[in-house]
Amino acid sequence: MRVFLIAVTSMIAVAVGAYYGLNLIQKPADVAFAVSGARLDAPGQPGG
Amino acid sequence: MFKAALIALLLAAAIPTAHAQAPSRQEAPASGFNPTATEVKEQDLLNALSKVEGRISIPDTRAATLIQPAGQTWRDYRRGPLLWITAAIVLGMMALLTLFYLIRGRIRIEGGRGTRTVLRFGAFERFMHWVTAASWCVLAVSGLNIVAGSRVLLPLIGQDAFSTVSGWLKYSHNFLAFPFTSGVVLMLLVWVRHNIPNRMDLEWFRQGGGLFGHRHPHSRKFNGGQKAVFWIVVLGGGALAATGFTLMFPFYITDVTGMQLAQIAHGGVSLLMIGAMLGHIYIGSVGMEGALDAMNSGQVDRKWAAAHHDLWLAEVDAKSTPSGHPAE
Amino acid sequence: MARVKFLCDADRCIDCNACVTACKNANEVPWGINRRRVVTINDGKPGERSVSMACMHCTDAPCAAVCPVDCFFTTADAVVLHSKDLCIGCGYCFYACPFGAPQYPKLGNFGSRGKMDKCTYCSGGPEGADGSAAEFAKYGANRMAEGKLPLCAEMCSTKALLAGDGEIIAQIYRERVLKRGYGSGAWGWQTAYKETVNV
Repeated sequence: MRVFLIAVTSMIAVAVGAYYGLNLIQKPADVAFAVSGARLDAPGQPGG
Repeated sequence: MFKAALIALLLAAAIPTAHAQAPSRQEAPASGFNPTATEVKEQDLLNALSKVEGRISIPDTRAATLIQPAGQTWRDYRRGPLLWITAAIVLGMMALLTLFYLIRGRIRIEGGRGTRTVLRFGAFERFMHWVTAASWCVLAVSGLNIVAGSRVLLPLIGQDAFSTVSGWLKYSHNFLAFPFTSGVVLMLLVWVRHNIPNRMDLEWFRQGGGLFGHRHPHSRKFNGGQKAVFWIVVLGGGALAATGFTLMFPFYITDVTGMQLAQIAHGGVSLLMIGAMLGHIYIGSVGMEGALDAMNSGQVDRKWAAAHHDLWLAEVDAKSTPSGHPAE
Repeated sequence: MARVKFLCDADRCIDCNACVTACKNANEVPWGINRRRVVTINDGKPGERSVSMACMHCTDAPCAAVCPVDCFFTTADAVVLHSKDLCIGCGYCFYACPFGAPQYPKLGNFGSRGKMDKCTYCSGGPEGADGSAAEFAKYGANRMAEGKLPLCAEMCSTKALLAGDGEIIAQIYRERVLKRGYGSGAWGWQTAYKETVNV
């Protein structure tokens, strides 16, 4: 039972890690589909 | 000269009349230039390539696919055969197991449990098993929810609640893919040396694995059935990871046609795996007395071990000195 | 009620992208999301054709059939709408859509690509509240509720893109083809509506 709980905890830890890891490579469409000359200065977006 | 001009005039006058009488796209247009001579035709493109693609001026290059009718084929598969196959495998396997339970009952340790146990799986083996098993259970449920949830769960709990639940299940499906894959890789590395098929497995299968009757075929650490489960998990899990990660990173690896095929493969393999795993879960829990101990405490009854894994027990005993057994 | 459709007369479309711009502006579509786009086939070769494409609001819409949470609704005008409250952003509609209409605010893994966005035929959202600010923010303009057709077709500089009752726009296209003597057909109609405009 103890090993089972450790396994479930690790499983959740890896999943949460994957969530944050994947968010690093996640691109919003406005950044991904903008050419270098585009100014993205909408609210909440980094200015360019 | 005058004659030629007159003919041209007559021809030009004749064209609209021809249209009015028998409209046909093959007629030369009034301008004298026929733009349809070299024109691209939708049907020709669909016949040749099964999709229509072109050039697009926005940075989203995948938008250059104009028409892909294969999406409709995928839809027809998803709302038809997929549902029937899912129902047949899940419900069929459950019915089969229930029937088996009613006929065979719980497979008991003959003469009841003994007092002495032997270590079958160490802490790490149990750990990797449960990482894989726990994530697999959530993956299976969330996957089935994507396939059939809107027909099974939605009518029960309503659209808003179902959407919320499905959203969370989708997140768990995506992110539990990582512990699941890790668990499968660990099991492959740790257990593969015990799972090379050999002649003894054929004999095990020939005797029906001792599922019927009371004789137990010889077996080392893993018997034929367990080896089959191992390879189903490793190969099936590998295929699920490959197709699943393809779907998780849309357009990184393949285009929309590739993703349709990946989804079909992902669903098909996971259904086969769900069928096999239901059997594995049954025999590892209610189906057989003493089996769950192997993955719970790791300590199994020596009488159980002697019946199901006689050669393995002999190996373990040979390795340890007779007085080396922990007293229980 | 009418069965509304889009029809792009590829022999008139000049790839000016006014429809794309009109759509973007009318609906305040975010950066990187294109509800409508213009694709040029055989670009630079003799016989090239440009086609403006968005959601075709298909008969027996594939997106609606594959949606795992059943978030699609068809209006009385046969416009296919989806609820952004129910959408879980799984991406299934994109696999099924023959026209590449569904768009997502994020690109990477499908677990968190956000709520799907697509052409609403300028009909707002499926939740009612026609013309409200909340509806506009979520789905864009609701011109249909005001008795107006989608702005892309209304703004088309060559009147290549037609919107409206399918029977009427098919008749307009038929008359054009008869008059000028050629026409490359109603692109996408066979796939979307299982019928084409016979001239």
